[in-house]
Amino acid sequence: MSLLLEALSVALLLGSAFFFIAGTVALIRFPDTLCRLHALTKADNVGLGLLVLGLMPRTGDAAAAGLLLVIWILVLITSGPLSALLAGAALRSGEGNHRP
Amino acid sequence: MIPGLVLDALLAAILVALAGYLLRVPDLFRAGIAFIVFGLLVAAAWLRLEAPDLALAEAAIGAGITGALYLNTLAGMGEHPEETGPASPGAGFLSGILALGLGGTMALIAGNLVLSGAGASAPLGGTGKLTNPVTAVLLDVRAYDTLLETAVLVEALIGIWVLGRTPGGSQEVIPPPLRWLVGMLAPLMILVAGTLLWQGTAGTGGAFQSAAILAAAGILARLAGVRVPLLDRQRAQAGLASLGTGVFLAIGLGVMAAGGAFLEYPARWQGPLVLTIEALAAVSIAVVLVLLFEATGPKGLSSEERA
Repeated sequence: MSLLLEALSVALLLGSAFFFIAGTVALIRFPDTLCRLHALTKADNVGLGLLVLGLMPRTGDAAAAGLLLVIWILVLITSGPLSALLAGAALRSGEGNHRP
Repeated sequence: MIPGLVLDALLAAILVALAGYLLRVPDLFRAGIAFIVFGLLVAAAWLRLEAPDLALAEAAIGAGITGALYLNTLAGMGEHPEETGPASPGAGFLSGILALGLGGTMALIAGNLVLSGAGASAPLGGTGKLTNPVTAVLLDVRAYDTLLETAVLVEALIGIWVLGRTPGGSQEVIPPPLRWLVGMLAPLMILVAGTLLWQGTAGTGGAFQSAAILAAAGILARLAGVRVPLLDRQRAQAGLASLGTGVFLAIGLGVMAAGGAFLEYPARWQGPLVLTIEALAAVSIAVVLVLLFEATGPKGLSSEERA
């Protein structure tokens, strides 16, 4: 694997680590479920995307790289409705009323 | 090698800490969530030990389906139930003995292996078409054990049914995102399950993993209020649940008629026979898991839904 590709892969993986850490910090520090959901769906999905993009050059096999992409797309597709369901449950149980 | 060792040590420490936490936290809901996380981390541990089949099975059954069963049972008990009362001293004593026994045995075996410097034993795969060593062991070398495992699942289902079946029936309004999600995911999951079943003979996969994905699809469908017409009547349920074990047993006895021992496949027929057993066992196990999920859920609104 060429040096440029290796450097690109490492940069993408580091970016992914940053987004995952940011999402975890948000999970710990935000006041209620709705804020945490919002932060997590954005940060974790971007983090996963960067992770997948960073790993794709390392597989050395087009089928495996394509499979990684499919995994990311599946997570994107399912995380939307899942967050909506979690938010609905949180609203029903009375959270999400933190108005500044 | 050093970063790998550090990561492994971290993973092991987190597993032990998480196990301690989920046993002691009084809120059962949190314990359930911790249990699911624990299952996922154990799957990561299996991956570190280079056992992808076990990691798949652990993530799908241990974390996914068992977690769903647990949370479903809690839902039938009310919101965030608390454990009432400490465990009796007798139970604690017995658990301690069991833990010491199991842990001590494992430490002895592992220590023995490490100290005697045993390298890799003879590879198990490679008999005929079954090149995946896990599938070769499960369905060829130790087929009898797998037959009994499928029977144990059916017995578990019968046991829970004996304790009283809930009428089932859908809950309140099904939220549209859930319906969309199930419509999107269920066909995909069935496809993935079929793929895992087919490539289980030579690659990662097999009957249990495929059954876990199928069961997850079935559970999602039930949560979204989708009726599975195949499972409406009790006779159909019982029949499908015991189909896998029955066929396994029949094939085992059948090869005896062809002049072999019990479950000793003739070389020419090994591929098709194993595939048949795996496919039907996967369907049966999936049906058993979905029925277990339904039987342990919150009591339905009415019994009108039941045929």
